[in-house]
Amino acid sequence: MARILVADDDVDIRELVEFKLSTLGHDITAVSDGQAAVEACQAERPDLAVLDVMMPGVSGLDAIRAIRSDPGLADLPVILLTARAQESDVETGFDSGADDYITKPFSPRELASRVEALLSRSQ
Amino acid sequence: MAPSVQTGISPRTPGKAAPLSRSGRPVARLVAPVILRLGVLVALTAIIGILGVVLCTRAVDHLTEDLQPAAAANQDVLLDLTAMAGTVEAWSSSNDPTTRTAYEQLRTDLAADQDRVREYAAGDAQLDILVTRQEEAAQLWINQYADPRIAAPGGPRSFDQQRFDLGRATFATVEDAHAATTEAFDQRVSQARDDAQWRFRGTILGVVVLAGIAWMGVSRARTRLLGELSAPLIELENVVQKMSRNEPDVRARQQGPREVRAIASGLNDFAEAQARARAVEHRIQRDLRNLDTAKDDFVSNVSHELRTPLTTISGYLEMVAEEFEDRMEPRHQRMLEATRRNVARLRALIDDLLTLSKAENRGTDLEVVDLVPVLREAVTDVRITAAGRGIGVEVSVPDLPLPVMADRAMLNRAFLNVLSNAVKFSRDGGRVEVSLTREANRATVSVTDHGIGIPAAEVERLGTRFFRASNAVTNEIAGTGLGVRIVQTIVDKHAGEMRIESMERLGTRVEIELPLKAERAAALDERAAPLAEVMELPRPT
Repeated sequence: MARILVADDDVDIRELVEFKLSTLGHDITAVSDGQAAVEACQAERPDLAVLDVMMPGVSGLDAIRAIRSDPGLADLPVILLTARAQESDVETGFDSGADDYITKPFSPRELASRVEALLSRSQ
Repeated sequence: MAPSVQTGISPRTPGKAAPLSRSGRPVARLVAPVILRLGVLVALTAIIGILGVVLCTRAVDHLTEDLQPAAAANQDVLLDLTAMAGTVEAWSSSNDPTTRTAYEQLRTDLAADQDRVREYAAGDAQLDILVTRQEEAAQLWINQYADPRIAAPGGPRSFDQQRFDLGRATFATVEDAHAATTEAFDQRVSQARDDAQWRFRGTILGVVVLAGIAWMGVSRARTRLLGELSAPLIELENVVQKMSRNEPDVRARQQGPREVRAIASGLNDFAEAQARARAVEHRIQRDLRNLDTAKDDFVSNVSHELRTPLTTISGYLEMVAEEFEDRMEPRHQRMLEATRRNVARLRALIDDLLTLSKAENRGTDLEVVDLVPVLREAVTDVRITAAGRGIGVEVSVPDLPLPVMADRAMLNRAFLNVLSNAVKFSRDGGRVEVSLTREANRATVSVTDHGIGIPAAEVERLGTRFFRASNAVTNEIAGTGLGVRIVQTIVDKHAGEMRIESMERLGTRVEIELPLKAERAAALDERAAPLAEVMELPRPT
């Protein structure tokens, strides 16, 4: 049982992730933009964050930078959701401090296994 | 020289300024007066030369044919008279009758010589007087002394002192008169000689002066023609050279003779038309580029936008399947399977569209890539799928690296497409053969399957967007109809060539030929040569 933050501007994707991860018994906080994600991380100190890259205002990449700048959140495991499979974007994601990424369209099962893997590694 | 380039667009407005610009004189009217003037000068020089020669000849003729013979005749007159005096003295001393005969002969000679002198002196008043005086003195000597003495008896005893003195006195008068005449003749000879000399010098001077004037005229005409004819032509030549180097704002100046102006004007019209055409071309190119970018953006955006709902659909589909796994009837399973299959199809279509869009428009970012590992990776990627259907993939690649200039990711995609097609269209338990060979400076990847093949009539249409072979459709083999097109596009970007041979029901062979990187290929030859020798050594006997 872990506390997970999910940020995606698309309500269906957000609910899909929320739904899948909650069936595994995790406690989910869902937000719809990058700014809210950063604020929620600072307020709730979750165990893991799943961020969409393409969000209006503060993007997923910007959000990671903001989160990493907080010393208490430097080690927070972050998974990026991206619609772009280009290598350059993936590299940018890792450079900005993501621990893993998953490309849309993704399988909820695969997302779940990545989440579990990251959680077990960070414990 | 004035600068030959007008920068900016020519200010000349067509139609209005054109007649003015053609107002130069024609070349003929420029050259004709020069030639005319030169002709006049040459003619004048010739006339002066001929005139001078004629005058000189006449002066020399006068000297040699009239004056000098007359002067000689005048000398003969004195000789005759002296000889007569001699015969008279001989008669006086010898009384020899032959001397009388000689005297008569000399008188005749004297008359003839005097006639010649008189004939010349007739036109010269001063000389006439002198000659008359000389003749009168001679006549006096003859009348008063010589004739009476010859008529009187000769011999030494007939000497008369008084008569002798008279003879001497009158002869002295003759000699005086003759000296005056001779002096006059000498003076005239010298004068005539000077005259001839001056005429000769005058002629030379005249010809030299006229030649000098002609030379000055020629050099002036040359300068003028260079300025008015040659300079504009040279300038025009420069303009043409600049235009041929595609310098856009170069225009010819309207100057020089009419013909040159006409050419300059034509050249400018041509350049204007060219500039307009170039501007249109640039605009079209820009529009095309913009359209292309718009298309890319569109395809890319649409693909991204489609992926998000697709994620939701496939995600929930998966969760529904998991949730109701044990409670579904077979027909529900079939419905779910059909939905899942079509989601996969949509997903493949979106991926392929995005890949094709990228392959078509990506500025090729080529680097040196070894073909061998790229092909091996692609084979590894299809092996699992192939193994699932019992299809074997046989690979034959050389041990040496085969470097090409390539975009690694695109090349991998092309190989992957060809290989997955070969597996897809093979029958279960079939075989796919993959080989990589090198011939001179080209490498060929060959992928052969023994599957359903392609109907002969449809081979040509492969590579058309969304075209799928009829037997692929009837056999319900999934596909987007973009795979071959993607391969073709990538191969084109690598300056390569793709060949497809197929027999329906027997199989298909796809060959991709790529140019090897030249200098690396040469190095490869050096390494390969000794290897070949070594391999040949252990020949079986």
